[in-house]
Amino acid sequence: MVLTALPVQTTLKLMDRLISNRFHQLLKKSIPVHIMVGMFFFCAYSWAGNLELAVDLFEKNDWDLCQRECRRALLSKAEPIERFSLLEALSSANRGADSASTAQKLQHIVTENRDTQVTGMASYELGRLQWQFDDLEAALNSFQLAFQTTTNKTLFLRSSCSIYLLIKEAPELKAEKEDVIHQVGTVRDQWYGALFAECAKPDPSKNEPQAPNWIVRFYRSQISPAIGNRCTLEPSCSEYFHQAHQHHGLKSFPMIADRFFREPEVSNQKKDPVVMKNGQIRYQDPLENHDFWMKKK
Amino acid sequence: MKKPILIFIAMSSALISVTADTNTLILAKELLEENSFELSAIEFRRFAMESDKDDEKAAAYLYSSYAYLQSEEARSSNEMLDRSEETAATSDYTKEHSLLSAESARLQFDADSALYFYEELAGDSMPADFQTFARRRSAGIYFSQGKVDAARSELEASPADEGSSLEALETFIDGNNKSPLAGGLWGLIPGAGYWYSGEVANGFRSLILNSLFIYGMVSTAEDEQWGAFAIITFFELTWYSGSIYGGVDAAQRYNQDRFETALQGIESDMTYRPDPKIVVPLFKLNIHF
Repeated sequence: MVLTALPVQTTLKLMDRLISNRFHQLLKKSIPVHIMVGMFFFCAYSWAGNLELAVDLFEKNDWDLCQRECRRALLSKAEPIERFSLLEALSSANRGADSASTAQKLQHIVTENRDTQVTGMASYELGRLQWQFDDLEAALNSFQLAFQTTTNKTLFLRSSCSIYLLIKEAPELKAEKEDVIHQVGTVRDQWYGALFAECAKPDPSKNEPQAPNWIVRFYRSQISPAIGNRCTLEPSCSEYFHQAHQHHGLKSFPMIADRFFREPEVSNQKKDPVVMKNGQIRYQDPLENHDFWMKKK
Repeated sequence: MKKPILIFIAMSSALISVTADTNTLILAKELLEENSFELSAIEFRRFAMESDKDDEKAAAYLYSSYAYLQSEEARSSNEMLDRSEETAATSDYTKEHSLLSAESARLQFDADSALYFYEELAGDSMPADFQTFARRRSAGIYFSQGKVDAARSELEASPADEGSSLEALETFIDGNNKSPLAGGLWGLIPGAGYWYSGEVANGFRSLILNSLFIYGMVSTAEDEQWGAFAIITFFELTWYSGSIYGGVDAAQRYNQDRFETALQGIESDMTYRPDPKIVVPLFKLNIHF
């Protein structure tokens, strides 16, 4: 995400300067006016602090808390509204919100706000969403807007690289955008290897958990319904096998056999109970307790 | 605008601002008491950002640092510590800073930094409970690094009676680890790998299942039922490889349990929490043994 490049410190410094200027202007005026205006700018300063907190939460991928922080700020109409709106939209997208509603929010930010930096960022993220849904022409326009409005170097390079990759995917769009393509060509020497992976067409399936293999699927669809929910450990044996298979491949077979041997003893020890949604009590026996020594180097 | 109106607006704004601050602080404290550490850290941080008093800021950042540490976010905890240090020009939170820094470094497995801060806390000028805490934690780190003599020296230098901690250390030294290789080799005999590490019942279950499936293999081979033979062989291979893997895993778990029991014995049950009676602008960590 390009949002990490948000210049929070710059915002704080600007507000500092504003407070300082207003302070000198008002120094000679009446005290109540000074207090009132001071209070206003103090509040503005606090909001900037909240933005810093929201950005920090965003950087930590703490989408829930970041979204809550932004909503709190937006409810209290805290400035800079555009940035909070953008953060809120991106956090909700990362939380798995509906892409169409995220695109709508981003579109709204792009058209309504007055902050060119925010326009650039929102436009770029919108472009990525449009690209994901194969709306190539709209995506190209969004990337172009980001490329031409931003003054942020990271976003500038990313949008240029995305334009390049998008044109490569859809050469028929080249004819309409020759000027932009020429401009993109002038910054190519600044691109670096990792940029291509970062700017490639978004593939949400990459982040999705891997589907269980056929053995687990067969067990869950054909055997488990017949014999019932018998496992007393958490994660269940099929989930344990799935995780083991993901991490250790064929070693998952001896690992699940070992678990069958151990299951009664772990249950009898009654350590680390977990109450499941259906009220069943299970005992924790995670994969980490049995593969920690494989990870040792 | 007339002066009385302006005064009224100014006072109202001030009152709203103070109320907001107080509510944030109350919420932060409540969340801390509920062990909702991450949320509490955020509220303390918000309070610190909203406050315009340096001593309040410094204390709130320390509370936030503590809460982040409890939610195992060492990086954020360090950041809050730095902010507190930058803000607290007049306040004296030296030992609290050292303790939180040491715990943060320990959480990040940065043994050298942790030992440095614990050494500071173990100084003669520090209160006895801080010294004891630091000595035990240092002993735990040295023990984790395999330096048992250094761990013993730390415990012996502690101002408290460390009889039980020293006993835990000596018990560990007197005992022996199980060899995972030997566990795996014993596992070639179904069940023996588990017995090697003292898991008798698991061993018998492995033996019975392997025996049954080997019998099934022999029986189906004699009857020339090759389809059934293939299926039973697949399962038997799984059980047999499970027996070997189980032998190695049981030995590894045995060693891990032995290590963790000793470490727990050396460090004893120690916790530290902010003093519930003290709230910002003050901060004090209480250690409990």
